[in-house]
Amino acid sequence: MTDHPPRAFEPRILGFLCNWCSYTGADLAGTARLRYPPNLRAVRVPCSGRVAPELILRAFDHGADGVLVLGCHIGECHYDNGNHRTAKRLPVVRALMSFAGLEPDRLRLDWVSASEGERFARIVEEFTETVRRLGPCTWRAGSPVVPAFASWSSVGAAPERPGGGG
Amino acid sequence: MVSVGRHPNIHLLAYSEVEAVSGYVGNFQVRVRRKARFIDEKQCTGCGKCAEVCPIEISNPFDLGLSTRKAAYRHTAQSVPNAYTIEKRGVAPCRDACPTDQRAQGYIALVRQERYADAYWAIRREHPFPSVCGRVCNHRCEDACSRGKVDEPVNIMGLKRFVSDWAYAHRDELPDLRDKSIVGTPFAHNPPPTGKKVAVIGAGPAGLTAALDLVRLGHNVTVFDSLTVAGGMMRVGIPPHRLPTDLLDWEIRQIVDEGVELRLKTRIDDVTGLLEQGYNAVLIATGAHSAKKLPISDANHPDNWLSLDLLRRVGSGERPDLSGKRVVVLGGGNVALDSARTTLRLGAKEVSMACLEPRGEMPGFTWEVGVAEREGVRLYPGRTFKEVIVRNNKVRGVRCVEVDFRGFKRGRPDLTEKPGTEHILPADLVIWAIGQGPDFSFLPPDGSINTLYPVGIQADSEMMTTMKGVFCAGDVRRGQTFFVVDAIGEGHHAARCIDRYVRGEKGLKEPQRSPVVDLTPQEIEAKFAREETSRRKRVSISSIPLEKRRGNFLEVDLALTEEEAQEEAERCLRCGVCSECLECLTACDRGAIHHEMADEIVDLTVGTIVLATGFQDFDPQRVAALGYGELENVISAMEFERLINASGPTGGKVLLRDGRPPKSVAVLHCVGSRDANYHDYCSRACCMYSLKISQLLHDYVGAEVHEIYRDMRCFGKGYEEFYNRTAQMGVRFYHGRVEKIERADGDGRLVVRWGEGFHGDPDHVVVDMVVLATGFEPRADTGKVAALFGVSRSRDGFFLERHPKLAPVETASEGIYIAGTCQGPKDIPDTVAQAGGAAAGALSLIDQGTIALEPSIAVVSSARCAGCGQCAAACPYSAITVAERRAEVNGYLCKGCGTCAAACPNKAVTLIHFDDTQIVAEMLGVLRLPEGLASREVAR
Repeated sequence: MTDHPPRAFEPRILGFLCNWCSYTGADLAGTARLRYPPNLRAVRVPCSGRVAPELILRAFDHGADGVLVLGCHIGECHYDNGNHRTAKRLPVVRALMSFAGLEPDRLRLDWVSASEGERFARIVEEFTETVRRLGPCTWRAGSPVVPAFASWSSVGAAPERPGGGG
Repeated sequence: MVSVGRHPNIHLLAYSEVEAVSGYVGNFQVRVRRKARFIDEKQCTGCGKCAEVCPIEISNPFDLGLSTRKAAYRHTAQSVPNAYTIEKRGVAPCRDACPTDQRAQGYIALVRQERYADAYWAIRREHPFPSVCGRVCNHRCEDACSRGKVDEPVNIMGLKRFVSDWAYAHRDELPDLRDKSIVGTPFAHNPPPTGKKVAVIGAGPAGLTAALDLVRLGHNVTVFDSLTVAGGMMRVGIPPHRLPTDLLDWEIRQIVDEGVELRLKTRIDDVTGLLEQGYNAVLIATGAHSAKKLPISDANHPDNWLSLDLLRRVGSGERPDLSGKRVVVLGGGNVALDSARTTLRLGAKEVSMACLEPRGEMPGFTWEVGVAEREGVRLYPGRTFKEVIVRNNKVRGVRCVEVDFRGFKRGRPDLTEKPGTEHILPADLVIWAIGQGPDFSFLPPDGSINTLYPVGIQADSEMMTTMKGVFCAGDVRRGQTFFVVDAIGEGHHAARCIDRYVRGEKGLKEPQRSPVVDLTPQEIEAKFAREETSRRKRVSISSIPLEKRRGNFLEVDLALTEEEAQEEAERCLRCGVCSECLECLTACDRGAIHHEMADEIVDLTVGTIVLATGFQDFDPQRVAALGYGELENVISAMEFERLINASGPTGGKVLLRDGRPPKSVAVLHCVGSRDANYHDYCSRACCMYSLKISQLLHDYVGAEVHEIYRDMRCFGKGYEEFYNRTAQMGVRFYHGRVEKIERADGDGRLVVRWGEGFHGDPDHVVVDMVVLATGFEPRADTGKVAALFGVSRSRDGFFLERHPKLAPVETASEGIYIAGTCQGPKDIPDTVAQAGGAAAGALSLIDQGTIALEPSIAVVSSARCAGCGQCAAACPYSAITVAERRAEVNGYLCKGCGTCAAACPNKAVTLIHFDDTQIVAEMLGVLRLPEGLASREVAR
C-alpha cells in the first residue's frame, strides 16, 4: 500500500436506509443505472424510526465521516408514522453533536421514496460533497470525549463478533 | 356484470365509499358508507317511471354533458344493480327559508316543463293558499335564492302567482287531487278516518292550514269563525287591490271540499265547553284582530277609524264613500299602507301617512311605500301624535311633533321630541294603524289558559297552551301580526302536534333534514357552462298604470305571462338537484322511493383487499393549442365513444354540433401523454383505441380519416395486424406533433397543423371533426385512497406495486392487491390479466387460511424493562401494552418497524434480526473499522 501515491480524502459515509422507500429507491437507482459516489455504505433498517441516536453516534465512534439517514416522505411511512419520530429525533442529535464538538452537518436526514432513484443519487452526491469539504472526522472510538458510551462497549465490539465484520 | 351482480357469494356495494380501513392481512376492518339512493335497490325494477315524472333536468355526466338526465336516474342502461338513484345535494335555500317548507325548486321545475297542474299540486302539498303567497308574501325564498349571488334571485313569488292564476283559470279541468295522494303523510287525500274530532277556532291561514292537515291525516275537523267570511286576515286584512277575493274563496272552497267543516258566524266563548262536547283537541287560531289607538284627546271621536275596521268592511264588500275627504293614516306598517291605498281607492281627496319611524326604517315594505307615494299618498315620517283636533264636532286634523326615534325598548318607543316642531296635519278622517293585538275576551275567565302580556297565549314547544288538549297557533300565539307564511307554518306545526296528541303519542320528532345547499359562485358558473340554466336577467312583475287605480279595486300587480314564466323558471339553478317535489312518489308502483333515506354505515371484516379504482381521462382543455372547449367540433375520444354508442345521446350517430355527419375526421394521438408539460408516460391504450375509432369512422360514418401520431405502439397480440388492416382500409397516417388546431377561413372546418413530419408528407389537414385520443391520469382522489389503504404511489401518481417484475399485483401492504388502471395505464387484455393475477393472489391467501407473520418483531427483555411506556407511546400500531410496570409486545400486531427499540432508554426492547448488536456489526463491517481489522489480524 505504501507504494501507492497519497490519495485525496475519500469520506466514509454510513447510510441508514429504510427498507420500504429509501432502500427501494437506492435499488431503483441501481436498476436504472444511475451513478452515485461509492462512498456510501448502506445499512438496511426496517424504518428510519429504528435509527436510535446511539447508533448514529456509534457510527462516528467507529470511523464514519458522515451519517445519512433516509426515510419515506412524511405521510408515506410504511409504518404510518415511524418517520415522524425520526424527524423529531435527528435535530436533537445534531444539537448534541455540535455540543460535543462534532460538526452537525456530518449528519443528514432526508426523504427518498421508492420511486425516487434520481433523488437518491442526488442526495448521496450532495452529502458526499458536504462531508468531503468538512474533511475527515477526527472523532474515533476510545477518544475520551464520549464516556457515555463506555458502558455500551460490550455491544458490537468487532473482535468478539467476527461475523459482523463480513 | 349481470352475473357478478347475481352471484350469491358476491356482495355488490354500489354507490358506496370506503371511509376507514384498519387491521392487517386476514383481518381488515373496512368501514363503508353506503350512500342513500333514496330508492330501495331491492324494490326497484328499473322501470323508469320516476325519471319520467321527475322535473329536474341536469347535464348527464355519463354522456360527458352531451345529453341531460333527471334527478332520478340510472347510471347507465346496463347498470348493475338495475336500480334508479335520486341525486340530492341537500335542501334548496328557497325551501329552507320558507316557514311552510315550500318546495319552490320543485314547482319551478314543473313550470319549466309546462306541467302547471302538477306544479299547482306541488305547491298545495305545503301551502293551501298559493294565490295569497303568490301576491303578498315577503318571499324569504327569494332573499335566500342562490341566483342572487350572481345576478338577481328568481322571481319565485311571481311564478307561484302564475301557477295559482293558471290553476284558477283551469279550475274545471284540474285533475283529481286524489291522484296525488300519498297515504300516511299530510299529503294523503281521503285517508282512513281515525274517529278523532278536532275543533279549530278561527278560519284564518293558521286555522285553515291546520284543519286541512288534520283532515288529510284522517281526523274530523270543525272550524269556527265569528265573521261572515272565511280566510281571516287574508280576507278582511288584505285589500282587494292586492288580493282578489274570488281566488281566495276558491282555495277555501277546496279546503272545505277535502272534508273540513266550516261554521261561520259562530263565535266561541267557551273553549272548555268544546272539549266537553267531545272534541279531542281544540286549536285557538283567532289571530290579532284588535287594532289599537293612542290614548290622546279626542281619539274616540267617531271620525277616528280603526284600520282593521276599514279593511274588514272593504273585505266584506262594503265600499264606504270617502270622496272629498282628507284622510290621515297614523302608522307606518303594511296595514297602514294598505289602509292608505284603500282610502285612495274609496275616493279620498287627500291621503297622508304619519308614523314614528324615520323614512327608510318604516316597518312596511319599502317597495310598497314607494308605490303608495306614487299613487298619491303623502308621507310624514318621524313624528308622534299629541291630539286629534275637533272643532264643531268635526275632526280638523292631528297635532304632531317631530321626533328622534330610536326604536322600541321593552315594547315602548324610545324617542325625544324636537322642540318647536309642533304642527297640524289637516284631516277630516283619522285612521289608526299603529298595530294590532289579539282579543282574549273569549278565553276562560279563570286564567286556565294563560296569556303573556303584552304578547300572546302561552304555549310550549308543542304548541299546547296551559290547558291540556288546547293548542294555539298563528298571530294569537305571537300576539302581533306576522306574515301569512308564518301563520301557515305554525298551522302545519300545530297540526303535527295535535295529530300526535290525539293519537296518544309523545315527543315530537321533526323529520330529519339534509343540509342546506350553499352553491359557490364557481359552481354556479359551472352550471351556466353546462347549460343547465339560462343567463337571462330576472323578469319583474308589471303593474297597471297609476291613473287606473283610483276609485276602483282593480288588482294592481299583473301576473307573469306564460312566456315570462317559462323564461323565469329557466333561471332556477336547481340547487338541491332533487327538489323533493314528490312526483316520483306517486308515480312509483312499487313503493320503492324513500325520500327520508339516510346514508348507511357498513362495517366489513375481510381478509384481503383488491383495489381496482381505475383512472380518469386527461382533460384536453389543458392543452390550449388544441382548442378543445372552444372549437365545438373538437371532441375527446370518450365523447366519440358516447356518440357512436347505440344507447348514447345521438342513438349511435356521429354528428357535428350542427347535426351534419362529418365528411372528414382527424384523430390525434398522445393528447396529454408522452409530453413533458403534462404526463411523461405513455398511456398505452390510445394508439389501439385510435385505430378502432378510425375503423368505426371508416365503416359506419364513411368519413375520410386522418391519424396524426407520434409513434405507433401496437405492442400486443394481433395489434400490428389491426394496424395494417386499418392502413389498408385507406386511413391516412401522418407522423407529427400537432401544434395548432384552428378554424379554417370561411367554412366552419378545422385546420390541424403539425411539425416534424416525414419528408414529403403534408404538414396539415382540413377536416370537419377532430377526435383527441386523451391519455390516462390517476384519479383525482388517488392520494386519499392511497392513504386510506396504506398503499404507496409511483412517481406518475398511480398506485405502486411491490415489485415491477416479481410482485406486480401486490402492494407494500400485505394482503392488499391492485388491478387495472389504478396501477398504471393499460388496455383491457392487460387489465383482465392483472385482475386475474390479483384475484389469484388474494385466493391463495384465502386458501392457505394462514399467513406467515413478519419474522422481525420486537421483544421486550423483562429484566431490563422499567415499564416507562416510551415504547408504547412510540408504537404506530398500539402493539405494545404496559401492565404491572412491564411492557409486552403483541406479536400479531407488531409489524417490526423498530421505532420502539430506538425509543427505549434502557435498551430493553430489541427488534429480532435488527437488534443493536446486529446493526452495529453490520456498521462495523461496512465501515471496515481499522482497529477491528487490526485486532483481528493480531488474533490471527
